[in-house]
Amino acid sequence: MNKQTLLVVLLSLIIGSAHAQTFTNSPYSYYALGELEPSDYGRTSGMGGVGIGISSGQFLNRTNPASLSSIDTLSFLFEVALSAKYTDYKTYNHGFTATNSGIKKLSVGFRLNHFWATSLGIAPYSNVGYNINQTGTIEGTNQSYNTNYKGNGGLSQFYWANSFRLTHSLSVGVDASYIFGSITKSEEITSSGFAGYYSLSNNYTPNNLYFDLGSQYNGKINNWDYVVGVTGGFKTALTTAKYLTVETATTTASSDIPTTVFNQSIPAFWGLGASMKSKSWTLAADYKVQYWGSLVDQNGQHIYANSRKIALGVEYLPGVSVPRFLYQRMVYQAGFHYDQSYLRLRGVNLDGYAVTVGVGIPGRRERSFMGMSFEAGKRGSLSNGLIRENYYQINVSLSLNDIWFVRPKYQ
Amino acid sequence: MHKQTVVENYDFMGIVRYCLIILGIALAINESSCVKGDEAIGSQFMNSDVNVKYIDSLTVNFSSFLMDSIISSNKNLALVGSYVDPESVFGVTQSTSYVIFNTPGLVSVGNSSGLLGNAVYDSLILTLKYSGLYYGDTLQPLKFSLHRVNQDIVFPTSSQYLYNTSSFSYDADSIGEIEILPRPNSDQTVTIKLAGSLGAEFLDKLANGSDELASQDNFVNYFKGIAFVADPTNSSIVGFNINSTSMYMNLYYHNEGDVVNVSRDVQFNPCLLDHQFNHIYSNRTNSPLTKDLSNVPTNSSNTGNYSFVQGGTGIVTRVDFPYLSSLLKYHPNMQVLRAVLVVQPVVPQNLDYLPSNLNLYFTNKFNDFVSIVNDSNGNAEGGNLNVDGVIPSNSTYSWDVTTFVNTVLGTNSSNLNGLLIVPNNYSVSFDHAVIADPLRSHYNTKLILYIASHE
Repeated sequence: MNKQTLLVVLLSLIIGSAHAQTFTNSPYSYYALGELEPSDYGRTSGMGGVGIGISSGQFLNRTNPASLSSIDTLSFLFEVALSAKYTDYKTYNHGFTATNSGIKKLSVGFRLNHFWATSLGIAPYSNVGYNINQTGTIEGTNQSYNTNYKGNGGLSQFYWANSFRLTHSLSVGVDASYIFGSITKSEEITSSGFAGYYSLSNNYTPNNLYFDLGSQYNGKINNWDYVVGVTGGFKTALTTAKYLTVETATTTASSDIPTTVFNQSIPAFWGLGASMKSKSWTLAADYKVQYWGSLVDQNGQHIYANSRKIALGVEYLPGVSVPRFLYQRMVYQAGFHYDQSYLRLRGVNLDGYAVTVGVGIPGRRERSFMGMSFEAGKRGSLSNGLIRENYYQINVSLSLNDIWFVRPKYQ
Repeated sequence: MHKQTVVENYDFMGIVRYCLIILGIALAINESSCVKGDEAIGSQFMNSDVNVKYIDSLTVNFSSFLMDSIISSNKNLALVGSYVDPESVFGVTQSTSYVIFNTPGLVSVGNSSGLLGNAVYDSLILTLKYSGLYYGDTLQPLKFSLHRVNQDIVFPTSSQYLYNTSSFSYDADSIGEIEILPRPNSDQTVTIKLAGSLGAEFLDKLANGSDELASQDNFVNYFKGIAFVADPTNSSIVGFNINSTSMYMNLYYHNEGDVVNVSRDVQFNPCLLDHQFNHIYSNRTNSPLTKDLSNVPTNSSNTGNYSFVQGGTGIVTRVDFPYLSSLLKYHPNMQVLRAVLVVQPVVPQNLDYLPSNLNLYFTNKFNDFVSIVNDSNGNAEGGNLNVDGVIPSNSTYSWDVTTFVNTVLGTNSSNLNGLLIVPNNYSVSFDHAVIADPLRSHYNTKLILYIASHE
């Protein structure tokens, strides 16, 4: 096996294992494309996930493609993000807990020339993972039956982000991605009184190219470096083929050609962000709106509302001139985000918020970096028979710089 | 020499190591996904695309027919008697049983051949034991006579069986008769003294070492068997076991020269059991509902919206579902989750007269008994009488016919297109029932379907 083959095999295994995981058990993932991935899981996870107004530098910030401009000329960044989540799902009188984990990002980034920096990667886009039992009674009888609803799968994206430095202060970026994947939503009818079962399975394969845009402007006021960023994307329709399989105790009817093909849209969005940085402190804030409210779901139901996200974060670097201990070289982060969800069920917006804390640990060689953050949050509501999710999440991101991959040459 | 950090060559093993670490972490955390608790949460949001419905209005047609014949040989059972159906539906049913006996043999007779010349005939006794099977009113006496068969009992051409319709001629004069109060569930034996002329004839042939007693073939050729004949005025049909410990004929004699009078005997046991059979016939000329039954099914609308089953004589109810396949037209991707055929019999004054269970068979257009209908676990459907303890007349029989319905729906080429209802062990049972078809009011005969479909 030559080197290239080995590398391809290893990367495929990593991507494969990332793709196979379901990062949610939320009943809310029944809706739309599933539970959308809320953030980048990168270096700024400990700062409430801010990023629109943050420049990349020694890590890859996907929140705003224009941020790549600040990658050093000689850098070759390799970044991976992992996350594990414990969620307590509750209604008024019932509950369950779930633990999920997965790879959230795998990317490389480097500068092509003095004005163009680029990044390639794969990341999950949405997750579907529910397993719900419902009991019903056949009308006109006392014969009860059980319906088991199962959803799994999700969407991923291969992306290619590019940033162009227009002037010393101004960069623009475009993130071109291919969103694809497979979502299976099934229901199976069984009953102790039934000899047979009835299983209906819909497989959806949404896919399309997707673009989002960004720009960043940086400058300096007194001792503060500041960055202002803006991002946006247009409404994009994902071409979705639906394949129906009906399986019963005696027959299986499935089709190789889709039963229907329809468009499932991702609505337009825009975001605004800013950060200020002194020698020791970074303060950042993001605001993002996405126009879900303009959409109806596949069955024509109004279950969406415009989503909004507000994120605030702070980072502290002790900045000791001659650090003796590791903690003196570490960065410390804290943040908060408030999310108005794109789901509005039973007249209630499924809002959520979370607090985050994190640390950044530099590698032995300065430019490699490990970020660890902890996030505690809640989403949803107990009112109107809805579900409230309390979650605790640990994110780990590794940003490995070129030093790891470059063999110094002695002359 | 000086150090230069120009990108010259990527550290390949560094990348591989890194990938392996990530992969290891990914696989490790992949294992940790788990869920605990109540998975009913979220059911409030789920909208089913599947319709689950209850249907009990599908047309079910009932008809009755008379089987051409029922194999009645080799059942080890002599069914003797007759009964009149008190409900006047099934008329008079009679059974005549034919049993062949073996020679006692020549060699084993007596203490020594020298004494045989002095043998004096005492009696010829036939002993019977109840099998436990009976039908009708056993509180009334049962009267039947025994006749010597005078025609060879042989199988019809190219058959290995004899049938309820088979019969062979026998002497008009009986060789014995008896009237008993049957005790079918007792261990009592029934003994019948046979004609002295026959006994003396047997003893004579024995004493003379006649060839006719030398072998089974010779003996059967000489004494072709006994027909157990009951006249049609009886009130019950009773079963007797046929084997060497339950049915035997003893020839008693003594030797004149004996100082002390010693009773001696030889025993005739049943043989050629595969040729033993019961001739079962009925007379329904005075039963308007059933007198015209033939081997072509008669629709229940022509017989008072009733259909009929009777063991022994072979009256069978056929059930058809003419519009079953139209379900598929109205319910695409349909699956029958459960199908139950419920049949309500007309309950006679005494509930005990209803069969405790009825069997259900697949059939085709030829009314063949293709195979017994199994439940979803592969066991034969019992079809037990579900007794309604409060209102006995609401008692029903029911069968899970899911497999049948799905078979009919699933395979267009299937030649199975109906069901047959017959009493359990219909070849040796006289169980009978009158079934109300779905058009009769106050009765609850119907096909129940639980179906799931997706449109």
